[in-house]
Amino acid sequence: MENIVAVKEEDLQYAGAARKMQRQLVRDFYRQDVTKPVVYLFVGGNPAELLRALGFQVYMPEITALTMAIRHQSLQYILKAESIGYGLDVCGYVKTDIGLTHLSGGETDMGKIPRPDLLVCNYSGCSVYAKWWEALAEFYKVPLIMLDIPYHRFNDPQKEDLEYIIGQLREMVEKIEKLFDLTFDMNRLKDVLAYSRKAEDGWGRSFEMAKHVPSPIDAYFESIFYMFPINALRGTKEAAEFYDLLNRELDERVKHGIGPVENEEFRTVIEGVPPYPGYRSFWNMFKKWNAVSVAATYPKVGGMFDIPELRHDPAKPWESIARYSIFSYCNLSWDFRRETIKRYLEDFKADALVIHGIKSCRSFTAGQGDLRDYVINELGYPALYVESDHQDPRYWAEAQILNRVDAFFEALRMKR
Amino acid sequence: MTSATSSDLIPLLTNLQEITYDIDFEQVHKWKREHPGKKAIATFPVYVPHELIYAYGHLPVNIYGGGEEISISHADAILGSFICSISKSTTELLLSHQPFRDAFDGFVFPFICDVARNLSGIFGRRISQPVYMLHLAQNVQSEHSIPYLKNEFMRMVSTLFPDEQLDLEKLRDAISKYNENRALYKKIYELRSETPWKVPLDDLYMTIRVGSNLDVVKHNELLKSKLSEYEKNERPKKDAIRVVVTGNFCEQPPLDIIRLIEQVGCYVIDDDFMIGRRFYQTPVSEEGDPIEALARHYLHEGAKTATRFHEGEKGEVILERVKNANAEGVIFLTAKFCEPALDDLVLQQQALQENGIPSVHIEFEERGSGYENIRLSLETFVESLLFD
Ligand code: SF4
Ligand code: SF4
Repeated sequence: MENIVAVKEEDLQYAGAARKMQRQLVRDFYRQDVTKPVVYLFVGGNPAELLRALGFQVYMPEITALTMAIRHQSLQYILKAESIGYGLDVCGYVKTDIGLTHLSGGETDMGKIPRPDLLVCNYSGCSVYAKWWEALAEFYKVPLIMLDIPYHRFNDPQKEDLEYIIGQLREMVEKIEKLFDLTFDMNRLKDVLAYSRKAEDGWGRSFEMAKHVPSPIDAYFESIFYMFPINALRGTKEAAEFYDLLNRELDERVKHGIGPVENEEFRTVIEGVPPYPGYRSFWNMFKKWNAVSVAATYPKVGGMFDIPELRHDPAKPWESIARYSIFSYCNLSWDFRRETIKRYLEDFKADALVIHGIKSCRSFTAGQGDLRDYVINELGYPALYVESDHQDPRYWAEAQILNRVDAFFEALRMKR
Repeated sequence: MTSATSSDLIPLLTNLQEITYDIDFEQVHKWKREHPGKKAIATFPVYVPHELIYAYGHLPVNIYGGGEEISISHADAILGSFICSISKSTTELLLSHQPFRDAFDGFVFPFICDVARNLSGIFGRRISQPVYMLHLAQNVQSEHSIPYLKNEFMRMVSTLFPDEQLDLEKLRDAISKYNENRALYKKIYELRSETPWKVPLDDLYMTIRVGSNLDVVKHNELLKSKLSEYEKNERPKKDAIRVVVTGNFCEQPPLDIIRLIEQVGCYVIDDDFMIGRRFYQTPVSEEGDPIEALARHYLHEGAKTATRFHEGEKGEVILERVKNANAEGVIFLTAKFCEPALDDLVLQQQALQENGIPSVHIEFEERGSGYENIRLSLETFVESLLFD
């Protein structure tokens, strides 16, 4: 672990274990051989279980893009995509992916990113998804299947929305069987779903752990590392095992009363996509103030893993996949998002909300100012809004953000 | 509803620009005074099936932001920096312009992009009128899309008018009136294609746009009157270049830019201006189940704007438009920060390039500070075509 403090090494059996395993999983993923047909999916509300059960190797270019950004390698690919006409205001994920995979052959220092044999557009939460896949379908000349997921507008998903999604899922499976000469096996799907559920149970539990005071985990900066298994590997045994290990590590931290900073002073809820190009520096700005994130929305971009009713379920395969798909964070109405933030602030005994808005992602960002207004004026919590980008280092104004963060915590401390 | 007479049209004809850009929505207030108990529903671009709202006897109104008529003082803080101007000025109208809030009894935001979708949540928090985010089906191939979309349309109207019943006969009648509206646009565009000098672009633009806040019957009368005026127009033919203007399907460019295009020597034969009001080239079926007819038409006949999924034909669509318009070039006129426009542009530009068709890309905002750079780009584009 990055920041375990004031403990004796010998007391800690699991120190750093989850982070170590996560690193290994990332390495293995990018080094794996391509032995099956490759499908590209989006992170938000995807039907990865069905594709795994059908025998695909699943890739998500958003994850590759963020991995490039956190390693400070995204700009070269963004510039390449801009050179063929992608504008400054296009989402950085799109540009990094197109610059890397389409225009540079997918070679990275982690391994080669294969081109897709199939594109499934799980249209949950982001309109750019459709545009991005349309372009890839033209570049790679591969089949593209649209899976339209209605936006979350009703407290419970309505029967008609579920029927629409389930109908499309079944059509998708039939289409893929024909296109790739594969046979869908329900038992296999149930096995995959069982692994998903196990991983989701574990991931969900890790969120709950942050209710401890002090919190054993930074639920934003640290949890971001732990998102890789749930999003890139959900439905595999490795992902399920990973969250067991994470929870063992967290239990151990609770037992010893240790957390990500030495003396937890501020508990924040963080909303928004991280500034991957300035990730470490951003984290340090909070550590400096002994501020720990105790809940965050970003780890739920795949789905609302903190709501047990939304987990995948081998007993209800189609329905649970459909339900899951509606509840990716970006597919949630502002009503639901506001309620979620309120719940996090209260349940996790937070002191404040921090919002990081990004240029690239209007889905996440448009309206975050309104959220800030709601949190300050209706809920009575302090809230900070800062802005940069999740991919493009040209938008990372470190000094300016540092000033804002410092001023914010300074004021919070003064009020105490 | 209203049956328009030619005397009703006089104020429209004499104050076309003022009424078109009126952010107080005086025409809407007037309509409501004339129709006590009836409602006006604001619909954000690009497309919402107005027929459904009209069938209840209410007035559907396209809203296009505040344009140059409002300055932004609160919306930046609500929406963030990297957001298109139509969203900001629409939010500003909500926050600080009472005549706008009072004009409408409900709002619909279709899922054309993430910003428009999110606006529904901002509006929902700040007003008591119903707000509906319309999730138009994206999957054109699924057999489940029609039932879904039918239901979605009904959810929209039952959110807007919870205590009212839909009369299918009235819906058929509404479809027929809107079919007439679309047929009239088509005729005017055909006239423009054959004799573009007879149909001044700015006048055509405002003639269509003013219909946004009129009863469709009245607008049909206006279109008929304008059509006959254009037919008789004796403006001299200019040596201008035939172009397609695309990309402005949602946020509308300032009138000065629209005028500039013609001033620098272009005849705009095909465009996306106000495309939501001209979404179909073919009539919606007036037979059978009218809700299904609307759903089916949306899925299979709707304009192929960047705000909806349509795979594998971006290049073909623009090439076809160029061919049908017998155009020499394409002007991509896109709203600043409009991601759907920017995404589609790349594939379209590539297709044009491969086919040797010149194009230029111009970004605009609602409140530009002078248009000298835009004039320069347009002039350079026209010159390159003239001396090619
Ligand atoms: S716009 Fe947002 S949700 Fe969509 S691909 Fe980009 S970062 Fe992801
Ligand atoms: S101008 Fe573009 S980004 Fe803005 S609301 Fe319209 S479609 Fe969305």
